Amino acid sequence: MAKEITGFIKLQVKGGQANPSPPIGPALGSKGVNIMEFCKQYNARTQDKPGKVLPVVITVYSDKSFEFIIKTPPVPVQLIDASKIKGGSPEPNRKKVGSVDWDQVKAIAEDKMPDLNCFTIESAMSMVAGTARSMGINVTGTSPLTK
Amino acid sequence: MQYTQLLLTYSQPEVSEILIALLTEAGYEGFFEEENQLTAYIPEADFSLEVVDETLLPLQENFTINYTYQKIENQNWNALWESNFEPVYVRDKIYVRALFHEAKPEYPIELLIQPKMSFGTGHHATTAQVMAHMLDLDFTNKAILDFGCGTGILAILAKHLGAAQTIAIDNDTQCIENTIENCTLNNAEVEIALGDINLLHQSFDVILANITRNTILAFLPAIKEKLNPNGIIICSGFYEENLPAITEAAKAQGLHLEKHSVEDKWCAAVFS
Repeated sequence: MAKEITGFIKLQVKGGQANPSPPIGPALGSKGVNIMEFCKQYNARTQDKPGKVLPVVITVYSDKSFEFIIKTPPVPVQLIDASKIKGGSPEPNRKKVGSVDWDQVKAIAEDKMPDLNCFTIESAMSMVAGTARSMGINVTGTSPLTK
Repeated sequence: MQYTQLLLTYSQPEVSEILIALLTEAGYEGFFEEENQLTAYIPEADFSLEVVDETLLPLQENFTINYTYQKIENQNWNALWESNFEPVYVRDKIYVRALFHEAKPEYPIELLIQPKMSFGTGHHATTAQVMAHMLDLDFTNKAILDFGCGTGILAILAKHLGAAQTIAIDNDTQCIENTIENCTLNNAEVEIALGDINLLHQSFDVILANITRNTILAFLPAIKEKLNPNGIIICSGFYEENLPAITEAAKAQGLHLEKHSVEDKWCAAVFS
């Protein structure tokens, strides 16, 4: 018989740096999950992405066991890395700080396709570009989406 | 370490990941996402209300975001699991239990471990495998180092197996406190140090390192430097797929892979 799921927990934690402090401690500890077991597994699975903020979705079962999936870094995190800006623009609609080009937008869209609700790369790119605009990051060059 | 918790609420879920990206840049270490709210954590010493306001200001035009913050007191978040865990048996020779389990004198070695958010109860395949490899070695009159000691379980086992001198070292204050507590519970005379292996000015016959792939790779030269001629290293904390990289790095230090074991994809390796 399949194990009964008691909850899903969505955290974003730096790769290779999970420890029992918050948010992992309070989020998992209250469910009776062995936090140290989670940290050991998470750190081992993210050794190639040390320090990168990674979304992790943890399924907790009634017997206190758990499984988790690790996703690629969120679009805004990748946009900041790509644009090399610190913290976006103070006035996103007026003052653009930092920029990415459409090749970078496409690369991020391709990386995040499995996590985005998009059926085509074009719609994923459009979503990534929209997020960039919300953060005050300019997308430079001619948009391939308007052709 | 004390943390400050920043609770952000909003009605547009798409702002969640933007907040995560911007707050990460502002020094926040981890996030807990729930429906229309995000809880972000930062070491208390790094918290600044001004930085929060500066970070949120540019988003206020497109998103409505409210927040509250509070200091989080240090506590044992793992207390619920620790209050009810199963004892561990290794090769019918070692019995690892908590204070609330009954004693079983029929086991040659009984270890009492109260983990208190430190790693090392024997439940994990890495710890269990290192303990099993330790049973195959002669520790009599040897000098042992437990590098990344967690609960101190391996250092305590080394004393049980006859080690003359055992040093346990970890860079986490909480683990050091817990190792002291567990050594007292087990009457194990272990020297305990806070920091990394470079602090130590002596060499060892056996070095135990149940840490992570990256830490082992980074510290292999220092581990080799602290190893006596004919000394043994037992390392774990990595998956079987990482063994070739670790073996290669060990080879560069003149070390040879004697044997390894695998359980649930986790590997433990013995080098000499």
